[in-house]
Amino acid sequence: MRRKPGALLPIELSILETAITLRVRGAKYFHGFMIARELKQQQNARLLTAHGTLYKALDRMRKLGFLESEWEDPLVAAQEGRPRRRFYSVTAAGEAALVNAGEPVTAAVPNRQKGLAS
Amino acid sequence: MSRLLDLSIGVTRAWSATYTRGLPHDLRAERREEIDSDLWDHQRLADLEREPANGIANQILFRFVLGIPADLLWRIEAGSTKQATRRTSMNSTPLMRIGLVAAMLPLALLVVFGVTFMLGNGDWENSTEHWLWRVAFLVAPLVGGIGLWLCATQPRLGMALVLAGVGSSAFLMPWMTPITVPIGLIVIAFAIKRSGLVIWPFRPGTTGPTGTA
Repeated sequence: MRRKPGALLPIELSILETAITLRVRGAKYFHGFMIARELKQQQNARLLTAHGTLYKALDRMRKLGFLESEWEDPLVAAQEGRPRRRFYSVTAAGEAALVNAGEPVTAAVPNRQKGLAS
Repeated sequence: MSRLLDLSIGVTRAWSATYTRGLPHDLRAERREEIDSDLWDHQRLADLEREPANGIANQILFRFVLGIPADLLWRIEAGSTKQATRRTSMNSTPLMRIGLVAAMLPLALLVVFGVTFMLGNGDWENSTEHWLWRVAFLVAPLVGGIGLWLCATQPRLGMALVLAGVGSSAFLMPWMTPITVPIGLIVIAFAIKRSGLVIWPFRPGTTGPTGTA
């Protein structure tokens, strides 16, 4: 069965909620492993989200315009001796999608106006 | 670092190299780099938290295995988008449109023959066998033409119809083989080009011998 265009999966809703929570805590951008770790903590899960599930969801959300991404400066990554990261941030469309999905955004974001404003 | 951890990281990286094979370079490199970064962060965090290496290895393996279906779905979607884009851009060129008309001409000519046979022209009897031959003369080139048309949107079905239509048309006229076989081969080559299927010796995005068909 095909999904409605633009309809969000539970994992995608969780990513949006978690990303907005992170932003309220001061982290405007997140990368794949960071969101996986946050999801695990929030959901009290035993395992981190599988690679395929996580990156497929991020890719789809980016294509739908709910997230935007940019690659880290390779020099910064090289200085720290690690692969460069892809940083994501939630767009206004992503915030709207979360609200439209009827998720309790206010529960995740104590001060919603402040959280969505930046 | 334990051997199991080495193995789990190696397997995950090998898998990401495998399922991204054949994708455009940038798309492939980005997905692989993202997985590499994730593995590095996972390992780094485990080191900081002093988790046992084998436990981390198991977690990485679980993440890899549980993500395989999503990886494959992503790969299918990424591949189909790439093919559709390539087909659309390729078929929108004037040369390809001219090629389609040119490839349709011999098939249209055969349809005309088929119609005249149906109307009773030629050395035909009014028997069931001869009616079947008449129908075959009409249907075979029609099937080929429909296949040629469908090649751009449904490449596999289109190619199957082209092969069936062109092949049976040639079979129906064995005395015309010196003409039908080369023309049929040109039509088939054009259909391959139009479908965007990667079949040797045609490479995607190149203009092959069918461009002048």
